[in-house]
Amino acid sequence: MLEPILQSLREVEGVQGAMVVDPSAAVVAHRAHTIYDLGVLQQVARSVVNSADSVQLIQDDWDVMTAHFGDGKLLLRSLRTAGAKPRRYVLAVIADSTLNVAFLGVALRVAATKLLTALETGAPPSSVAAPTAIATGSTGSARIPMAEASRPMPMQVLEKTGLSWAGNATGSGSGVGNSDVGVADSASSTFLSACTKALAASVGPMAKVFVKEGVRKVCGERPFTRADGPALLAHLAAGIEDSDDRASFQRATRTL
Amino acid sequence: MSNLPQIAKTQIAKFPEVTALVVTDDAGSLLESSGDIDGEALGAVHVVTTQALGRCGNALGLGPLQRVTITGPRRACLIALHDEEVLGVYVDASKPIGVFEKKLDTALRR
Repeated sequence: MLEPILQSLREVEGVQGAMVVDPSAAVVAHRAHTIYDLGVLQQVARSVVNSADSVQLIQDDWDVMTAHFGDGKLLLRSLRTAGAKPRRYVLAVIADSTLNVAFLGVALRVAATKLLTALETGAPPSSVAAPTAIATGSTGSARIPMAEASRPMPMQVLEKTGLSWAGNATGSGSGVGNSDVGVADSASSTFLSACTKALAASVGPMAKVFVKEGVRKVCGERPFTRADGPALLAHLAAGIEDSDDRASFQRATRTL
Repeated sequence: MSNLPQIAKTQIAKFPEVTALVVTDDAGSLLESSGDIDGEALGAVHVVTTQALGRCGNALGLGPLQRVTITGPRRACLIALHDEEVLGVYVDASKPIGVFEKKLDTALRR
């Protein structure tokens, strides 16, 4: 049921393939040029979900992400289903350099509407393949893969610049990117800074983003207090996939 | 190091549609930021995002990643890779992003 919709995208000049990816990075449906076999698409699906998860941290209402490459484009369209169990799928369109983005824009909107209807009415996630089939052995977890996303980057930002947290209750929703989390007092601020530095050893400069997200999850709109520390540490530790990194983080924060 | 931080500060930040910008190196270290944003956190996210999309491009044979546009109802963001630095620019979502992309290309070519 989803494939005919993807086929309509394939008919736009320059489009070489289209696929729908679910939050666990599984390819739900695809229509692509034969050079893009399922193995390649599964590999791409993982990176698509990683990039969508990253962008979600700073712009939770993103609609379209367009990546311009030297020899083509990759367009990602967010598909958020409504209903009792909302999920975020991503429609990925692979195009060569002949693509007319304006033409695709129209087709993309039509396709997105139809896909959402199909996904919301329970049509088929006939999940083509689970991400676990990929050679790297990813778990395909829907949560932000902290270590995987950030390990390649050395931890420089936090060591160089230090950290700051808003000194009063200004906690706000996620996705703003420029929103600070509120702290009750200087001891709480110091705790968050130490916590971020400890986390940075595992995940690099994304640590501050994860700590802010963690504070928002633990505290909601109210300012962070020292008493929230254990819950925050547990939340952050749970997000570290690598067991050695998790143990290091727990050791480093045991005395906080 | 290129002169991207300087171009960002003296030219791009002055475009009327720009609300904020951040420049990092390709490891996520903050080089320049402007506007009411948490530059170091956003810069890190930009780098992680471009790394993930770069992997997509490699797998699909699309060549090197040049820039990324992210649009939504409240804001639009353009991330450009320039030499070994990453520029993230936030613009008013009500303005056409295509026009701004051309202006940015011109500024970065100088």
